[in-house]
Amino acid sequence: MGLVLHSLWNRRFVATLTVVAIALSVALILSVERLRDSARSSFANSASGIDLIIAPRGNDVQILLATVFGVGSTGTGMSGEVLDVIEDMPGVAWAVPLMQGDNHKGFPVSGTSEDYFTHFKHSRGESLLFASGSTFSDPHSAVIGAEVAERLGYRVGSEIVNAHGAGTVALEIHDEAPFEVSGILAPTNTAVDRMVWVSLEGFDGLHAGDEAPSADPFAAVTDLDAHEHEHDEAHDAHAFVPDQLNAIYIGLSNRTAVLGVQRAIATYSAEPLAAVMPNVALLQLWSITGTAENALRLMSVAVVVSSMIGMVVMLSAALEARRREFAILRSVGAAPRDVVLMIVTEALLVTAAGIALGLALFWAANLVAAPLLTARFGVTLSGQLLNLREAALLFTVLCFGGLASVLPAWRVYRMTLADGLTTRL
Amino acid sequence: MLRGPSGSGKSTLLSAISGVVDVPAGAVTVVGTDVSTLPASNRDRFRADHMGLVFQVFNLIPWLSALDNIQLPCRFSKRRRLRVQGPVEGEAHRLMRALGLDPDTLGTAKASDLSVGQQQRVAAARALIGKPEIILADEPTSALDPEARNTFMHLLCQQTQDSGAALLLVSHDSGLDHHFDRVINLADLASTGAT
Repeated sequence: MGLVLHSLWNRRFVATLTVVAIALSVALILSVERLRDSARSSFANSASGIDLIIAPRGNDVQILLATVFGVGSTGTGMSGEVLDVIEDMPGVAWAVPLMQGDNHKGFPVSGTSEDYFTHFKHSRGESLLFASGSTFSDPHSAVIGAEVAERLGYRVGSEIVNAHGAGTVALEIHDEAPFEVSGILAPTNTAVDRMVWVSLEGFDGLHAGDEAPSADPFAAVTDLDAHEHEHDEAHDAHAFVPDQLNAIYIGLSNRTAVLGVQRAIATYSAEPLAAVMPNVALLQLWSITGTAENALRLMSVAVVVSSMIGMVVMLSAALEARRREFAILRSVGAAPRDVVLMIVTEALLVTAAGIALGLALFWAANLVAAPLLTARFGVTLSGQLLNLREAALLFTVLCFGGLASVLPAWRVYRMTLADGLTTRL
Repeated sequence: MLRGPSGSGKSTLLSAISGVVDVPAGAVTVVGTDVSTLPASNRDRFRADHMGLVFQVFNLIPWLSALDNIQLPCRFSKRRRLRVQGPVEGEAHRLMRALGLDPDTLGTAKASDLSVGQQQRVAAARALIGKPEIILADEPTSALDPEARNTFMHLLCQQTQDSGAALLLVSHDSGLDHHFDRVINLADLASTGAT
């Protein structure tokens, strides 16, 4: 062991390069795995408290992304009467209406009722908590997620102005109708942290002073056209009662009722609706992104393999130069077996050092990337140092390192047998 | 001492004695053990336990210090480690001193930084550590100048005697004859074998 360390130290330059190569590959494969797991659990946590999402008929994944994550839009609206119908359905414990289509500095703004804060559950059954303030106190109140508050420096009482549209590009700023922050939610590590809620009345009222859609020069080139119409229709009727909704979250009193409710909604005759089970939609989403994920995984496995080949190259290239060393070791009593063991130990040491350095890199990358990922994508990296699967992965890499050394070890064995004690140089 | 011109089979004979090459059963017996009948791994063990070897050049592992080089056999042979009285490192110091090397200045130097003469003495110390029964030396002096050669031989013989080991040295150099009790010419041996 001491001999192996000495010998490696003697070749520290190449050995270090090899260790670094392995470390990078290990960090890469760990990061890919962690990112994937975190993204999935983050998404699943965001949607975990909703049994069904009712929205105008459309693609399940699109509906899920638009409602729970504020990515894209559901397209058309549905009439506000649906809410009453759904609330009366057997098995429905609660229903929370949702209006969407605005943003505040890139954060999605939704119109909802106060019920949202009492019924919505995230991360396997945790309720939303207010870090400060409370729910809407008047139509111009707004509740903001923890991250919105932190990033924009808002406190209870801050005034916010929303813009129309779903992106960071403010197509139309509703500066005539500012909102006052009435509450800030505690961090949930889900999409909720990045959202802004206003009351249905307030959201509807935003668009009360809108011009006709044709006055908006961008309306024709965006897919927000539908929204414009929908809002116009909305305030043609009553000022503060939502006539048009984008979606309704449903919680069931009995989860076995889910299929019945889903069927009832699918066959609802007044307008085409869809009832989306978030978990099913997520599975669909994963099957779409799965190909890309697998490609990424395959790449990182390839990088690990190539770093291992690099190690075999390092060990093999040094063999010729070390013939003398091996012959001397044999003359002082080392059996060929001992020499082989040295090579295998060397490979394991290099791999282990690579894994250790890789872990350090991975943790460092996590520290740097975690806030960025949360801010940009709402994905929270799990704070775990190493989970079981990742540990198993590292162990596999180590075994593979040992296995990779068999080739040079075999050559050494043949060499030491052939050379005996004399060194022919 | 075994003498013969180069190519006469001296080194091969040493290989046979040390058990590196296969020989017919009963052909080589060292300290009461028939080396030829031992399986390969036991031969390695036997060599490590009972023999010290010194070669012409390149005896030392270049990236180890002189002291570490001397202690190498004790890593591989438990018997030789046990035959050292006291700590192995102390014995290595003693041997260096006995062979005219200062362990304090040269002991920690890397083997590759030593002169050839010094390297040979370190190799001798390594062969002697743990008191093996037999020291095999293959042309240990051929890389040394005459002065160094005589000093080296003198020290080697003295230490071999002190540790009670037998010294078998092969060389083509008849100038070494006076250091030995017996000098055998390989050519004579070969003709004996032939008849």
